[in-house]
Amino acid sequence: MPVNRYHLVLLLLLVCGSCIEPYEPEINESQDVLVISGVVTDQPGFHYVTVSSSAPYNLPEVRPVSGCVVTVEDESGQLRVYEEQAPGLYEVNLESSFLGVGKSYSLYVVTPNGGEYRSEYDTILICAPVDTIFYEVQSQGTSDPAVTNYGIQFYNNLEGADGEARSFRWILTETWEYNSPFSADVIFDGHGYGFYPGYEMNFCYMTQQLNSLYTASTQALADNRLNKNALNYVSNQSPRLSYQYSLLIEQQSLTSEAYTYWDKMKTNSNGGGLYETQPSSTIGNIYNITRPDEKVLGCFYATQVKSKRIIVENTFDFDVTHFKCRLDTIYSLDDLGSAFPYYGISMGQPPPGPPWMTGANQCFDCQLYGGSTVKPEYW
Amino acid sequence: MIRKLVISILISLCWGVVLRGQGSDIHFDGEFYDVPFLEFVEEVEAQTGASFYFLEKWIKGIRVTASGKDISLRQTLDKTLLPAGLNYVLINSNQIYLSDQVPIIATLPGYTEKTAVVEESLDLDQSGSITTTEQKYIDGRKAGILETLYVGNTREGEGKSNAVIHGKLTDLETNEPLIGATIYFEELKKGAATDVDGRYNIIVKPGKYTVEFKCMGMEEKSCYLEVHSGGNLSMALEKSVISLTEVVVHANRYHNVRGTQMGFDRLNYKILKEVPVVMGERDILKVVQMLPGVQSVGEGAAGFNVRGSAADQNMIYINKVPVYNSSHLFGFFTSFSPDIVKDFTLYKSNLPASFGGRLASVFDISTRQGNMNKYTARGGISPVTGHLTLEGPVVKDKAALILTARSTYSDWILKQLEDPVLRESSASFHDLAGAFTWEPDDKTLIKAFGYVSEDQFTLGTTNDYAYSNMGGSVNVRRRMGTRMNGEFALVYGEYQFSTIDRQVESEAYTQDYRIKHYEAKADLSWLSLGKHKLTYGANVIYYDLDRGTIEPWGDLSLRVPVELGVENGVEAAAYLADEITLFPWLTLYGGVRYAVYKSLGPDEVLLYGENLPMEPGNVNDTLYFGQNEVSSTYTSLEPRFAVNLMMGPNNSLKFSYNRVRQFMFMLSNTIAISPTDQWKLCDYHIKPPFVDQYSLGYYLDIPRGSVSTSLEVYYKSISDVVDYKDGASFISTPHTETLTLQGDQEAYGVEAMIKKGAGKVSGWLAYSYSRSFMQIRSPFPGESINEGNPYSSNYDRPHSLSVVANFKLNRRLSFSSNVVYMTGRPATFPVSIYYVEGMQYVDYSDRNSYRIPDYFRLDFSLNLEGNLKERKLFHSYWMLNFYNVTGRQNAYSVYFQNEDGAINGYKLSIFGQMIVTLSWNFKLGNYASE
Repeated sequence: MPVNRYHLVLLLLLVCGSCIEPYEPEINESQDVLVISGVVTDQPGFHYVTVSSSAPYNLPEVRPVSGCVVTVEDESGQLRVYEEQAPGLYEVNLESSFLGVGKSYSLYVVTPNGGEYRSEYDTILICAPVDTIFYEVQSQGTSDPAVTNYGIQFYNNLEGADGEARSFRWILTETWEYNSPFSADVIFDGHGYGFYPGYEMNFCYMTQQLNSLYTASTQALADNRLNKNALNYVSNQSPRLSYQYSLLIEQQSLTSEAYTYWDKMKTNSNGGGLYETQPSSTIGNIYNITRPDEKVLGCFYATQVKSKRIIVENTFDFDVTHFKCRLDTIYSLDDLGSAFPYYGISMGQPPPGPPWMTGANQCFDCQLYGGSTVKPEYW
Repeated sequence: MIRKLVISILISLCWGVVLRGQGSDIHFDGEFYDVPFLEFVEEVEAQTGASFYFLEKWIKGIRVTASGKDISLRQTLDKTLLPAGLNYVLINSNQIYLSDQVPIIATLPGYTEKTAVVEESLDLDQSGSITTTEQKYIDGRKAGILETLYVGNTREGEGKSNAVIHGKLTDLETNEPLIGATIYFEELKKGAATDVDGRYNIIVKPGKYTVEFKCMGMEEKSCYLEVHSGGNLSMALEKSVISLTEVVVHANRYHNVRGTQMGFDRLNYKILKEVPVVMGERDILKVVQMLPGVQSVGEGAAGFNVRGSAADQNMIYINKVPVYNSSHLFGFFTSFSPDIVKDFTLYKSNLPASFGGRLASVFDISTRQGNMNKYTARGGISPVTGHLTLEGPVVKDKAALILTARSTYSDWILKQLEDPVLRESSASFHDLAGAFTWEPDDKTLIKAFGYVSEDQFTLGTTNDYAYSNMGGSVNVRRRMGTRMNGEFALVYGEYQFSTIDRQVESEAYTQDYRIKHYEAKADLSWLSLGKHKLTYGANVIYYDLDRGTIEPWGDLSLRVPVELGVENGVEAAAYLADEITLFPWLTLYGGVRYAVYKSLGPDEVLLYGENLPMEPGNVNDTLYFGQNEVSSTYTSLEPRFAVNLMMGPNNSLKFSYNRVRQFMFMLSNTIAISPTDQWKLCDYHIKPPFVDQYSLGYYLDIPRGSVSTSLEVYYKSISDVVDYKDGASFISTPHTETLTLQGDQEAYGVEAMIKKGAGKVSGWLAYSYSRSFMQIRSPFPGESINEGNPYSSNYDRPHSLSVVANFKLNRRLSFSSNVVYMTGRPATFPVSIYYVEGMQYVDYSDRNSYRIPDYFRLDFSLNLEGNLKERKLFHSYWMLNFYNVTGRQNAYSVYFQNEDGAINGYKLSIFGQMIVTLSWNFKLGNYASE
């Protein structure tokens, strides 16, 4: 029985500075395995399927498989054909009449080299509404007993009826506001500088889907009810909580087969400990019609989606780390490097004369961290 | 008949004519089996009309064994009275006078030549049982002057070609029995070793011999021996004053070359002092892992693997009490204190027929019996634990008690850790053990033993674990006549754990598990006058197992309770084995053990559709069994065979074959044993696995330098070994068959070992090349592992080298070193990466087709003994240990984590740097005292 991961650490009974170190295994084989992944939701609109093949462990890359014929089929034999939008990415626009709770769908893929693949039928089960989303402030100890970090842990509650789906997957998308610490008023372009008083490129909104799997099931529980199901944790060691933080929760209903797949994908993302079970390939519901022995990765599942958004403002008692910047004072343009443009703040009287304060461009332009300056409509 | 005291003086004055010799014997019929002397006398008087004269106090405790028609009274009395220090004379064909002291001189001096009676009297003086005083006297003499001992008397020996000699070898100082001590007849090139109670039996031809008594740590002793007939020859050996010979690590050379036993290692507690250890905790299971063919899955992991087998295929007995969980703190330490351990034996190849029930090995630990002469204490402290042992006589030379306790204060280490969750954790363990030994007479030995070990561990705020072992045994050993020994034991063992898991509030649960083991056991041995040594016996075990209920914990838990079920089973076995010495150069051991296992109700057995996998959806019927109703029966006929071919005085070739079946297994799908792993009995669906093992070995001793070597080859195949389906959760259902798969295992290897038992440098070097493969095939898709092809088991570590060396610089200072090298454990690694929804995932190789990096470790330890003054209150010694001197970061495990969408590999090591610990131990008395 798998024991909590901390047991591994427990075994480091003695203070042992570098007991965990990166390890690059020498892998001398590579399996070129077909990966087919896709979902059908009850929401009309574009649906996607990806077809790719696996890459060697030490050479990770997406290896799309182009030129496949991809179709989705419901139990009554209705077909919809996907079109390739980008290499390996297949798209179909499904109308509401094709979709429906309680209906089952199967994916059929023919690869350019003639391989025929099919998924088992997966059924859209009724998904309980996203009941409550809430968070708790939690402290986290660190290796220094004197230092404690804080953050917020999101949870959700769920209350479903009997006969509805008992297994769930959550797709979380976070949006957060942050700023670059300084507003530039000069921009050096290599030929000189422009003066832009009131230039504001330091408030941004970052939106990204969380790269973690969240699944849970009430199959072993008495009721179709989840209490305080843990979602993500946001630490004050990132600037996420600086101003306002928003979490979009898309709750997907899963059949027990799909749950088994995603839950194993979740556990297999972390494997190999002594108190864990032997890892093995996660095989979904897709098989080669003519050669059933062929290993096929990925899964095609059907789901009803319910979503909800929560917005959290920074009213916390704890401090939140902001992006840190150090500015240097320069007196001459010759002190700049050659990777123009550079941003700066004019300190001279009158502006924009020297000296200037300048530093890394992110200190002035928040977009360089990856966010957008466009405020979302729900903000 | 009135019993009169007739003093010997009177006798010699009053009788003019003494009839003696064969003609004056009395003959009787009957079956006397260990009957009191008085009863015997009454019977003989009634049958023959003879009269016995003696004082009742003389014959107290004397028992007679004789059977047949026309039994010679003289022979019977010789056999019975002489060893007890009594004399007798037979007069007028019907009067028997006993005497407790002076030999009865029944002839007038000078009347005839030196008569047989006189000879016999002389015999009596020096033969028979040697009292403690005599032993001390003998032992007190300087070595080098060989004295002559006598056993039996000429008359009984007349016409007989064999004599059974039995006796006990003890420590002169403490009177404790010496285990594995040997008596060796140089002229016969034959010997015997003492058992766990210090007793031995041997059959020799009457004659004159030079015999040698040997035992590790004791002075060797040689003497001349005249064997006239069977009798007792006990000997007390002195501790060797020269500590250099104290380091003998192997029981004796006799076993290595001469016995039929293979794959066998016997070590004694002294080795614990001589192997460097981590954290200053002496640990016998860590020492065992230095032997060839014994490995573990990782540093600090519970259990050990013998010849490529899983850890649940080992039976660990401590004084016959089964230990179901041998580890403290997840495996860092062993669950019994080293202070009480006297001797431990590992059988990894041909199990004697008296053992069964585990496929891979039996690890038999016997504890110290306590000092029979004086009260004493010992103890010590290390950075992790403190331990104390008290012992002493209850009745001097008759009964002794020993108590030991150990407790940890390891919490302070957790508080030093960097990990914040561990800082909030707590751990504690302790163990207690006690043994009582009583020797009411020299034929009977009664031992009682009790043992408790408890562990508690709280991990942060999420998990609680508590587990404990408890057990006791009462063991009676009795010599029943000269050729027969019996041992009878009642045993109780219990293991339980309870756990609370509250990682997720709505799924929080608690479980209490326990297994109880009740056993009755009888083992008898019979030494024939011919070439046989017969052993036979039987045992019955009743298992009472409650896997507990998974119950919701806390108000917020929504978990549905799952009753994992109660299981009962009976395992009964009987065995018969014979060791036949066909020629001095050829010994055969042949035996058979027959075991029956029945699983008993109440039980609910699900039946699944024909040709369908055993899954909940395929149930088509349910069988219900009532209380104690048999739900399934398995039997096992187990041949045990061994042959020893002596190729010279110091080398031999041995072969053995055996079969063993195991009726229980551990539900564990992790690589290392975790404290929530449950023992489970075989049942209606899960068949008991069995092993067939063949070994061939060559053994060579080089007496000069006490070097012994062995080279063994083995092959074993295990059928119906239990494995688990992917993602099996043992707390989800009582119907374990829906989680398990059964397959075959094959293991083979070569083990070479060179040992040096004595001298300034001692120790051993062991190398083994071994392989171990599993094969799980199933007609159902998804149930085969690696497509049904054989794959390396978790314990397949081909190359393994261990060196244990001990250097005695002088009597106070010694230096020890270990070197361990092992091929890395097999592991399943990611071989390819693929993307789903933009996130990286890994696809794994076939199971166990890669290996974690090889393991290497070098340790040192320094032992500094206190001064050597003879008169001192207590003696202490310091142990300074340097564990993993090279600081190599040996991989404990390799794991892969998905971090923010990308896969990273990590190597975890436990002792990634040199660990230096200092521990202090003391004992009352001086350097040499025990």
